[in-house]
Amino acid sequence: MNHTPTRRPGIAAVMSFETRKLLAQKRTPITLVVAAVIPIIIAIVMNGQARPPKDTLFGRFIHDSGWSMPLLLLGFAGQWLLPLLTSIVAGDIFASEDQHGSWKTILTRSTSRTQLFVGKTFVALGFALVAYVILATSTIVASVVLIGHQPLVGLNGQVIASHDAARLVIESWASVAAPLLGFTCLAIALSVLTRNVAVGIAAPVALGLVMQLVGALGGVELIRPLLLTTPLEAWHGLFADPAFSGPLVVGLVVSAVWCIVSITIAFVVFRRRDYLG
Amino acid sequence: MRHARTTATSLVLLVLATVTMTGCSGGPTSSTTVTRPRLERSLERTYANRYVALSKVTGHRGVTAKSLDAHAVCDKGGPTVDDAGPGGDWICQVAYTDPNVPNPDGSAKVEMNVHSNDCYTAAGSSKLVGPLNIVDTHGHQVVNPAFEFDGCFNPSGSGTPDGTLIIVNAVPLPGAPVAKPALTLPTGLVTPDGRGRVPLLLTCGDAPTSCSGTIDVTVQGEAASKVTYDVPSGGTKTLRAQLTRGQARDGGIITLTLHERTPPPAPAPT
Repeated sequence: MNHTPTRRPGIAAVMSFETRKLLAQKRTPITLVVAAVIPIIIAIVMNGQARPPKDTLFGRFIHDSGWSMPLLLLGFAGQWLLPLLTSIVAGDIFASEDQHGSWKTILTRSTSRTQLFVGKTFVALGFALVAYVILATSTIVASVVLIGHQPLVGLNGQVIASHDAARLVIESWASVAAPLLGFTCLAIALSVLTRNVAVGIAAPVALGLVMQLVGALGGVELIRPLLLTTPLEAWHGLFADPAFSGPLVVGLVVSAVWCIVSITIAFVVFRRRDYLG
Repeated sequence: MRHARTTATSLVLLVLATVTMTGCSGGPTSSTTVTRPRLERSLERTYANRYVALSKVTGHRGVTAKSLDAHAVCDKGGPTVDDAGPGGDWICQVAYTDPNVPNPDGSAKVEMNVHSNDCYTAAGSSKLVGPLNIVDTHGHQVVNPAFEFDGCFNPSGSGTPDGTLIIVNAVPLPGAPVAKPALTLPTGLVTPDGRGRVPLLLTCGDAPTSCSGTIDVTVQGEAASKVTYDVPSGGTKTLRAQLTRGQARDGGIITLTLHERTPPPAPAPT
């Protein structure tokens, strides 16, 4: 066990180096600013609409309660925004080294491949969480400031008091963290496998859309719970009366399995690949 | 670069294969979470809550979800379609009690669009709940809370039917001549007895002698029994219609089709 202390600085060094690289790229701060600003613009535009968007859950109540806007946007964000938000970094973090031909330089340093892989993975997961927290906070704060904190109508027609609605909105946004990290792992795997930045960034979004399409079909009930997009809707149960959490638990397990499988494949391929030849 | 292109192509093929496989493996027989009991139990609550909100807007006091005691029965796509799975062809009947708004039909028709994610959009009967925009007690125009509403149900909630039976007026075929029958049929919620028979309170109006004929009883579009009746003019009679054991246990929408033997009353001389 004596070797443990010497390994930790290795991963930390990789993480610090990767974070500095990330911040030096223009798209990283741009993504974070977009995550903060876009919800405010959408909330202003939606609030100005005379006809509320009834096609999406909670859309019909956007003028009645500030708590409905974050839920409408959560339903909307799950369609492609969340996969895109994470894959911008996760889909790039390995493949960009291929693009720049920099593997030889990095792999001849004192850090091991495992440390490099773990460090890059942690940075990608960390970026996903930071971007997501900014998006969620901006959405919720902008909605409440613009519209107010009136009681909300739930998914059994019941009236939910404002303080309960606040808790449920935060819980709902928190519940999509698991599938979001699932998409991060998927993007990392695609980034390692394809060695192509464009595929690493676009493929998770495309796969997300395909999974949603499959999930919306009738007669695929056995596959539906296994899709990574299904947990993005698991929060619906929180707003029912009585509330149910079965889909949230299943969603957590499904997201974890997607993540573990993706990362394992990525790690095995990364360890065995001949970068130096 | 060539390697990347090959990988990208294989990814696209993988996606297409997944879609094709899922498309082929799924069929009408695969188990769905959208079932009649789950939809009915959810709609009862949602309808009652939205109706209470409507009563508040219109100033009807004392209406609560408990006082309404809503019961729902749903049917998907008529008698030929299985009552399970998502779709825009779900029709539900909700029976409830509101002394402020008399309902001679005994139940309200609700059209449902049910999605595969276990959520639905329901449209209430404007005959009973009014139009989309209504005026509240302060004179302000507001959106009618019971006109259209959303709901979601627990996909692992109880799938056991609760045996609710609601009699609904048969809808005449388009273009068929509509003659007002002398016999008035019951509507609304009914409860079967221990032997699976439901009471039918028949009222005979202005018939020259008596009202007589037969009534075909169907539940969810499936034949249950045929009842022969003979009610004196101006009188009432309660007959019992036998249901099958399954129909009495699962409940459903009861439709009564009248075959009158009595000639309809002659038109008044002009």
